[in-house]
Amino acid sequence: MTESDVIFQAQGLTKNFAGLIAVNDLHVDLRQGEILGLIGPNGSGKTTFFNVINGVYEATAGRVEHRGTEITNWPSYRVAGHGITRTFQNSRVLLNASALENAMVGGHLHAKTGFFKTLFSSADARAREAKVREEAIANLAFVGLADYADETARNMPYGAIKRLEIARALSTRPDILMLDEPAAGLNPSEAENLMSLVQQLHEAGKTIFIIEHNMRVVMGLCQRIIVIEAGIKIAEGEPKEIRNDPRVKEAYLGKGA
Amino acid sequence: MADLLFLLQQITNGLALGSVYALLAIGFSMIYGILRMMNFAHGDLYAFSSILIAASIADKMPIPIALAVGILVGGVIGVIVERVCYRPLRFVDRSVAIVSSLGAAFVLRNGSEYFFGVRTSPFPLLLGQHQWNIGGVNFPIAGFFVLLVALGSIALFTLFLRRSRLGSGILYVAQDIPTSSLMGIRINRTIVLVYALGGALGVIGGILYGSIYGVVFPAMGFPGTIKAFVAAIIGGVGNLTGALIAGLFLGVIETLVVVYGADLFGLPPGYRDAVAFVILIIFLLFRPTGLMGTRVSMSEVGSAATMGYSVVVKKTVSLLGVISVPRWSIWPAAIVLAFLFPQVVTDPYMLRIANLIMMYSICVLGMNLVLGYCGQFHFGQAGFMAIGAYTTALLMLRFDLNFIPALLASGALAFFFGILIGIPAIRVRSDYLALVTFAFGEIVRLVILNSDFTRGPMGLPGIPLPELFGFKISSMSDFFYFALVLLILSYALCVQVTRSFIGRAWRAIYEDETAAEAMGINIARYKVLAFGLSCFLGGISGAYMATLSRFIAPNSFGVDLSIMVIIMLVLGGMGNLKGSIIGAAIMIIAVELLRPIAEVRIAIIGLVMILVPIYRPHGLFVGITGDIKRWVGAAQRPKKLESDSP
Repeated sequence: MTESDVIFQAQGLTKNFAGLIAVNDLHVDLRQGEILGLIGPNGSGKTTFFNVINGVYEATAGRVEHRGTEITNWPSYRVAGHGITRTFQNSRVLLNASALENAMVGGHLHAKTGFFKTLFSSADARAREAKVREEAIANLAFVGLADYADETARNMPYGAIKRLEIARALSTRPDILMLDEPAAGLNPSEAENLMSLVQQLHEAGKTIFIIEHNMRVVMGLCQRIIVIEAGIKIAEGEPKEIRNDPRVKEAYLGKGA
Repeated sequence: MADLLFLLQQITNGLALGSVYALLAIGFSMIYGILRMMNFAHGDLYAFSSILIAASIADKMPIPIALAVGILVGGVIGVIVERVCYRPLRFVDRSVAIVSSLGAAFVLRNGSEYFFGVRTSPFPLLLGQHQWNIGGVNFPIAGFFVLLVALGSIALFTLFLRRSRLGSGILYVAQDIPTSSLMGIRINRTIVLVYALGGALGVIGGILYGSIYGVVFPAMGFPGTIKAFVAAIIGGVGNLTGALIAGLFLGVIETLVVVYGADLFGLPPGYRDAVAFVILIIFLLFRPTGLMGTRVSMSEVGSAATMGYSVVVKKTVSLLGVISVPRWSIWPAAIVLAFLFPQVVTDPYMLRIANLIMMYSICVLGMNLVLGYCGQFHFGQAGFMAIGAYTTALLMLRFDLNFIPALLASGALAFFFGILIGIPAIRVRSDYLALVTFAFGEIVRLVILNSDFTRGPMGLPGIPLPELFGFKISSMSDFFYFALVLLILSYALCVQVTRSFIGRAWRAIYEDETAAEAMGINIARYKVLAFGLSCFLGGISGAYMATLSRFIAPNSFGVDLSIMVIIMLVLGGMGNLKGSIIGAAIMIIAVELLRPIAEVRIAIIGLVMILVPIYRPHGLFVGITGDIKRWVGAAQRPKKLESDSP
């Protein structure tokens, strides 16, 4: 991989919550088609980092760039519109909507058209709607939820909801998919299935940025890993480098380990 | 010097009025701070108890006993309201709980009108009429006393919260209900106590009000609630010192604006109530954490609020299960039948009712878009009906415009103002939004009431009959067809919009704003669009109303109308377009059927408002077939068990 493959860059990103520095001067490069893992102990600022990139929080300092455009502190919807879509650690699907409807919400940007075109069901509006529906169905099938299309999300098992969130994110046609602990709360076999889904996404050419707690999973999945502790990057590299890094061991196992 | 003394006199008056607001606000703020629930019955509770006291004194009950009884009754009503209207809904959708609390307000209001009459009751001037004359300006001593009594009550109350076990229990529960429960605090008992104390403090406020102004009356209830709410928000929710200061502040500002506004700007005194609303809107927009609150960056407040919000109050109203694609075989049949209706039913009275149902349906459909689909509380629909009605009426009367352009202008103007009130929705959380929109509706009414161009309270008579493409609409059946066409168009608009990406975006915003935004939905734009369309339909409905009744007056567009539209929506089911028509029909027919018992009509409607959210939160008839099956199933189940057992 070369520098020219870099499609996303965060430079010196810092988030300061009234004195608490949750993310401290973080540099992250993301390359086309890779799976980049972000790991670190609880409270080390992983999700905050995602939130700053996605416009949930405002960055205190630093700069975020995606495909040559600066997107620092853009509101969430514009970040999504620029091709960066995220999922949430605590699965924020629409519980009262069907799986299909959830996936179609992800297609919002592509269904969107003029108000009057919508009002009079213009050919353009109908074509967009049909396309979004078709893609949503395909994405549900991709994550293995084809049979759940008409099921209300509230009635779906937790593992299925996690997948539904990924299907919804895929419907935005993301350039970069940011997954926040997609396997959190799943049992080991479900988690393994989910990781093989991430692997399939990778094989389909998606660029993936994933937060994950489970070291073993991350090691097997990611091409590169960044480790942060207390908001500071303590290591970056290929899985085997990370595995042998003394600072990482210390962060995870405590001093003297 | 005289000017300064005059100013001081007005400030004293303002402080006296503010003391009443402060007492009301403290009870309101406490309930709101603990349960995040707006107690819309708060003001009517204070009105009811104060009138009870006035009546008891008039019946020769010794004054101290009457006062004690009144305060006790206030506490007891607070407890009943909590038990009946709030407890069953504590963890349910907040907009539904608002309806139930309005129901309680209706029952109390109607109760005091039924038992004590609509008119004002004299209240003894308990604090005397002595005045200090300083430099030629009179200072009523009662004003100082009121302030002292209010401050004393509040000080005692604060002492109770800080020093007693029960009181500190309240403070813990306000912090965190589940944890307090784990620590052995009895949650229900504490909450009941909060309502009882809040009610009692409110009644003390009522007594002071009566003692300065010499009268109490049923209609003082709702403005009381609003002032308490405004003061609670300005003071920072749950912050009692803040509520006290904000209450006094509100009283002083209101008094000064009324006195000097008339002198300096020729502002009619009718704008008195608008003062609180304007202050409120300014605060919500620029200082949403309140006077005393800490300043935090807007985006963080927003995200923290939306996150906490969606975790705490998961919407239980199922929005999507009830929407179904219209089956094309049924709809043409229904439309044909509707067109035949005036051929079969010729009674003008019946036709008029049908027309009213259709008129309200249009309005409720609009409400459904903004509240049922997008989840944004809109409390000012009456204001938009007023904008629509007055625009059409004025354009036709004063400018001889034809009806069609007048109708379009009504819709356009309502749409424009709808977008304007949608702008606070971008920043303000749902219950505050209820208040902003309510305030806007009231401001519209007050402007119409106080303007010469609209002939103020006298209203606009003789609105010409509409003419559509050379065809004059005059009979009730003409109006029927006219309304039917408008309703079909409005319905089609709603169907088209809600079935598209716009409806999906609204439902996503309703359920989880953060998730919606992460999917690329520009939340601000879709909220504003929901308000615009909702108000557009309100305006169209108002324009129709103007031509149907041919006379409009500002009093037809009070808060009752906005509430009625919300009830219709809740009855029919939120997020259900057919339900909007059904809800309007049930309500209008019920109002007609209840005419013979007019004196308790409002109370019955109030009861419905309390019961429907508790027992049928998805709407009166939504899922009724499933329920019938369940009832039948429940009746059969014991038999099955018997046969199964060996």
